[in-house]
Amino acid sequence: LNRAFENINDFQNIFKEYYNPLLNFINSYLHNIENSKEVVQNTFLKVWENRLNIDVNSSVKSYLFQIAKNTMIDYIRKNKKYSLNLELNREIEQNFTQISTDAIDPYIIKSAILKVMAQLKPKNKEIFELHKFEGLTYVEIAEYLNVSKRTVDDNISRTLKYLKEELKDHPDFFD
Amino acid sequence: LNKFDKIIEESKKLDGFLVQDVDQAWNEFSKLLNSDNTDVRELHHINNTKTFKIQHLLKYAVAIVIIIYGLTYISKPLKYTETAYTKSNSDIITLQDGTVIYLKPNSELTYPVRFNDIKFRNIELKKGSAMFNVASNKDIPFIVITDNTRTEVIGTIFSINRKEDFIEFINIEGVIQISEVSNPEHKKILNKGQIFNYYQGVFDISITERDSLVEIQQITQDLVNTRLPNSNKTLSTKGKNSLASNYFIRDVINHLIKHNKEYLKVKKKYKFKRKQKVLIDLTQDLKTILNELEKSGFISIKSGKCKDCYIISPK
Repeated sequence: LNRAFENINDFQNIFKEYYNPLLNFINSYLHNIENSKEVVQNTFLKVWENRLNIDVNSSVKSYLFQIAKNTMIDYIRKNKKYSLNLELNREIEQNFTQISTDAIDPYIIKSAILKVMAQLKPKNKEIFELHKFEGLTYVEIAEYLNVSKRTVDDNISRTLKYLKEELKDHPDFFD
Repeated sequence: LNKFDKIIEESKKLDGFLVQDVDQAWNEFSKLLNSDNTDVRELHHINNTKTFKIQHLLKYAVAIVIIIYGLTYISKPLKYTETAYTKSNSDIITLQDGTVIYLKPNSELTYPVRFNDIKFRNIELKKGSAMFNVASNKDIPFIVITDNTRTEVIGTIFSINRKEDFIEFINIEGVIQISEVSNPEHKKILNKGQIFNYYQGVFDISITERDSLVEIQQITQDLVNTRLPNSNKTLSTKGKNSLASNYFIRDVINHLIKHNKEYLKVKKKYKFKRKQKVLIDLTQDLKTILNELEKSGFISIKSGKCKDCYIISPK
């Protein structure tokens, strides 16, 4: 973990991988994209400035998630807008203490899927969306799009391969 | 459903997922890293920030020290030669191999200080005159360059005197070979007691003879004004001897042995005390010098087998 943050290039890769998942996760609580951006930025700033003092055995994801949670609590406490609403503050803090690291997983996957989808051809994108998001079977998609089942199968397999490549740093997702 | 599908199912619930340009976000963040944005840094632990800065400063400091040390080390070549200068006084230089060079006043000479793995003992007499008592070493010739001349020896005593319009070579002991640097075929070989004068561009001047003993006496006289390195010339206040100087005892013994090989022997290897000095007049005869050294408690003297021969041993 320590090594992942020492080198600026490695740190940049982690920043780019986790920026959108963390931003959306924080925004689901703050409901303010600018404030959420600030919290995420401060999260990475803390990680970078403390990278030489990091001595944890957890994963990059757990560490980042923990720092993000603490940064958001700090932010809420210091921000006047939120400090007026003490009840809301307490609620968010209590919720936060109960949140496990896995809570960030859907955000990571969503981010990866959107990234992969953006690179797919429209036809392939449509096939994958019909299967994963609309819940259609391969046969239903084949009939709907007037293509063979094999074509659907190949397309989805290829897209999943891209997605796995995108998520190669999260092998636990595929347990 | 496997774990992956379950997470995908959960991700479907994430409505309004915002996708920001991460490259742009990174650029903004990079600027922040390089700026002193105190508002943002408010959230950080001050101690950690300080530690971070100190660690960074230390890193740079160490890097700078290493670079400076490295550059100094690289740019500083190993010293292979030294240059000796004399003004109104003479000087004596003892080389690592035991060769003794008497550098006369107003002279300049470059000599080797490292003798490891050298093929030649190269000396350059850049200015003035000098006498050389060369330690014998067949494997490493002793070469003296004086203007356009090259004098090569193995082990001998000779003198090179720069005159107004020529250079005088006097060979006192052994054999020396003189050649012209610009024309190496021009060579002269000088035997004991022979003198050769080199005029610029003229190399066919005949060699003349001189009694080598006379030459030795002259050189001994030259030493009257010679000051050994680090010696302090002290004039006697009691009028006993106005030519006495303070010399290291080690240098005095080496000097006497060099110049009195036939008359003087050391009983066992003389172990001198490095910093011990003696006030003595080296222009006196050998017996007088030895007696003075014995009186001063530096050596013991015994008579040798031949007449006027002595065996000395440390006290």
